[in-house]
Amino acid sequence: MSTRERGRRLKDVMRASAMRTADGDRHEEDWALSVRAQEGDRDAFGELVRRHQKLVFMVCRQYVGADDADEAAQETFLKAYTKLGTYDGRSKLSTWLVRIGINTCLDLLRKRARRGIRVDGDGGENPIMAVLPDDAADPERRAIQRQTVARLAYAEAALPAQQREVFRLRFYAEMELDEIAEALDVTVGTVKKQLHRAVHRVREELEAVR
Amino acid sequence: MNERHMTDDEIARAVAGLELDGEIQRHLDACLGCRRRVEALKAPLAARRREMLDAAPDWEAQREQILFRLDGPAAVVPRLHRRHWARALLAAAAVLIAALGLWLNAGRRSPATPRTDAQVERVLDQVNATLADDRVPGFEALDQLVPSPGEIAGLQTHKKSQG
Ligand SMILES: [Zn+2]
Repeated sequence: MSTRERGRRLKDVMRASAMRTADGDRHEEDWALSVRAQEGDRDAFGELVRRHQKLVFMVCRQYVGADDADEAAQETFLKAYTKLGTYDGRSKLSTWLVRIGINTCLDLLRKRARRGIRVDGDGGENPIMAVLPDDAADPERRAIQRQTVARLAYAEAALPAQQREVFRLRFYAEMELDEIAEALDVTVGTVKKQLHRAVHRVREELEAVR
Repeated sequence: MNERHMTDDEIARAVAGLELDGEIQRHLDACLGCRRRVEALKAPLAARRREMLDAAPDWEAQREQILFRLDGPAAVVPRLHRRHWARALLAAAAVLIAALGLWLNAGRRSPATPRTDAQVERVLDQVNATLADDRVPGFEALDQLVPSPGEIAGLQTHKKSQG
């Protein structure tokens, strides 16, 4: 898309009354930043990174685990930079970045599989050994919470792949249902169904040990 | 308030943030027991998310690294170009030297002899063979003498951090 076309599209976007919400403002700003970044404005790209790096990291974290999430997130932004010209502003920039992030992670997992490394979204970490924040003041409550989180991690790992994917994107990357649908190229109905089933299963698992 | 407590299925819907029937939503708002059941799953989910965020990189450092790495591919391309440019220059110099030698010889010999053409071919073949050989040390020395833009950027960052 040429710079002139992008400018015209930006005006269209800005004119659209549906975009007058806070979310719409953010989308407009992202679009304007992406136009500037594509013209070589590094500060604009830095600002885009600042706005979305937590989301991109948390998405990558769900696919490649703790050890590789940072590298995968950085790769995602580097790829996004070279592909900025293909971003047309129709979807949210965050969703576009998530898609690139997921593809980057899947490439990494394929490479790992070829090298015979265990494919595990948690990077092989043992959830029982996971260090939990000290947010429960009472030691007994803290121990219970630690156990529950460990159970949660196991229950989650046992979910069918698509349910697990939706579950993690929803609760840990805190994505909206429509964003998950767009990023995974499925309908919102499918996302709702998978999420509902996933929560139901995880709940059953956690209740079973109480 | 609806006296029937929420089913497991409805609790799962509430945790997932899916819409609830008006009556069920009103029950959830008013019933401490059902809210506790929802919270019983929401709390470990939030704790696990915090655990992941605790292991997240320093955002500022990550951003700086990404911006620094934007120079990566650009640092590789000129390096290749420089090598080709150096090769082209060496090739031109070699041809010039060969031509100069032939021209000096031409003063002593008759000009368009077949032997002269063969000589030119042989010299050019030698030049090609030399340029095709990656082990020729001259090229590596040249690469070391001229730092790539990435290396220059690295040196500047290093100087800044020292200063
Ligand atoms: Zn109730």
